Amino acid sequence: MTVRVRSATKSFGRTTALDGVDLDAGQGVTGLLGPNGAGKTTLLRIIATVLAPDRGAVSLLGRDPARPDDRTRIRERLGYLPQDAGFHRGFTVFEFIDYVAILKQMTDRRARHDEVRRVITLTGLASVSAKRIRALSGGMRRRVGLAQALLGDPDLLVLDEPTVGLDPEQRLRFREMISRAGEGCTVVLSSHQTEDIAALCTRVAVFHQGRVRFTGTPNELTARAAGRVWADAQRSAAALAAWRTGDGVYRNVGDPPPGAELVPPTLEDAYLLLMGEPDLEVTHS
Amino acid sequence: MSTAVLIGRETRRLLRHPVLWLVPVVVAVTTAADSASNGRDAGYWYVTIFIAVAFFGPIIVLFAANLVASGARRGRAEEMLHVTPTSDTRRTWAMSLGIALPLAGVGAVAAAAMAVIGGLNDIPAKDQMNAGELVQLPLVIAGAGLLGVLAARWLPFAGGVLITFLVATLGGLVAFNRIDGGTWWMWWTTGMTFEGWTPPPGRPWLHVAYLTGLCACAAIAAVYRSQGRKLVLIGGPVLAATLVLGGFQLP
Repeated sequence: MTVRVRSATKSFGRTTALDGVDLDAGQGVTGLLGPNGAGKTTLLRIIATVLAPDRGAVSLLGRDPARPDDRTRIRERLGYLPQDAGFHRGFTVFEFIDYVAILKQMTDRRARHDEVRRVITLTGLASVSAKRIRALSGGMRRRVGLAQALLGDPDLLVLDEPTVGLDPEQRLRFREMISRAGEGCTVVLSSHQTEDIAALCTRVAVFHQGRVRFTGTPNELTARAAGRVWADAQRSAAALAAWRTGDGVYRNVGDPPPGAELVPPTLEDAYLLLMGEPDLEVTHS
Repeated sequence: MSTAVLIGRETRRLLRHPVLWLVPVVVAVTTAADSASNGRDAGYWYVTIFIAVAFFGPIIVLFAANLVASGARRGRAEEMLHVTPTSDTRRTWAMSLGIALPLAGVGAVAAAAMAVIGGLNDIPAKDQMNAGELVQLPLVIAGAGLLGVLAARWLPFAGGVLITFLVATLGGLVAFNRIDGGTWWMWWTTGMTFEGWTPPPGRPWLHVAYLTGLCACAAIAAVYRSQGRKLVLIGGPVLAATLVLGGFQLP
């Protein structure tokens, strides 16, 4: 496993952000799903070596990030896109990525510039590489963040809410880029968007109040909602969540009444059920 | 090798910072406004270079260096840069050297120009800076850059550099007025002759050593900001030596 987290606990003052979390992630895309404040970002920051857990063990790429030498070796093979990625004001796209490449210790100028151009092309930034970052749209800036994370073909890619704030077209493009990256390395990402998780991830971990409520494949999570989603002409009082769909029918999630017209569940239905039943047992598969 | 590349990159960032462009603008405006009653002779240019490098330069450099050094924080890019294999310590060393070295170079060129102008023209010897005083110029302007980096590291909030500027300036004024030794304690210029007082032989070199100590203190305090043990072990002796050098200049 590229990422192995055992019983990780992290508190900020009186707030417990992570409470005994276990997580394994290998090659492919692992998604962390959960509401705001569930602990996804804290765990990703631990995996990105920004933070150390108060308790518990973490192994990344077979090394212990608590040891300074190991941490440096991990960082040589790590790409990280923070949730709130900012950039040096006044840098052009090329200059900023080149600056990060220098920090990633790519010393040969020609090879470094080739690599910078490669990730710029990969993320579709070639036409704006000479533009100042402050002049770019939010979506373009997000791409700059992804481009710097992809520098040097990292073995571990940590992406915190990579698709937040992107329009549908940009999100699809991002999915494509992340999916491609996940073919050759371990990608751990967080998202509020169940569609992103369903489309991208080979494994998913659902977080709630600092604890993992589920780990498994997206299909396994979806299967948990089988028989618990039904269509009706009206909102059902028994439903944990219900909403009117485009065709005028109510989609109800919860415990269906006898004779309800069951419909195939989605990952979102399963996620809603999991969040609506916080006392549910933690499930690992 | 990567540290050398990084030093070069930080130098480029400083030299391209728009605040630094104020130096030639201010010098051009002030020299244009100066009536130069004796004409723009050698003495005029001698003083102009001195004022640019030892007065306007350090003040503007302090703010420019601070803006460069705090760029990652202000741009909220720190976390992204933090997880690279280049440690925070190494980045700050590169930042400090990348800022101090070119400034020291500019100061050295200015000192050399003043020496040449003074040597080739008939500027009275009493109006010329001696070798020890000229050597202080690179240290003063590089020190201002290091002070900017130091402020960025220790006062990581908007206005931190302004507080640094005010405290250093007021502190310098108080020291100059309170300590009756003829030493100019202000952080942006070198000691020359004040109200008929001429530094005794050797005093300018003592001041050179003192300024070198201050530069080293600033760099060490910036680099080891988050490493208390190293800060004390390395910075402690340097600070003590600097204070001794300062103490020797007291009456």
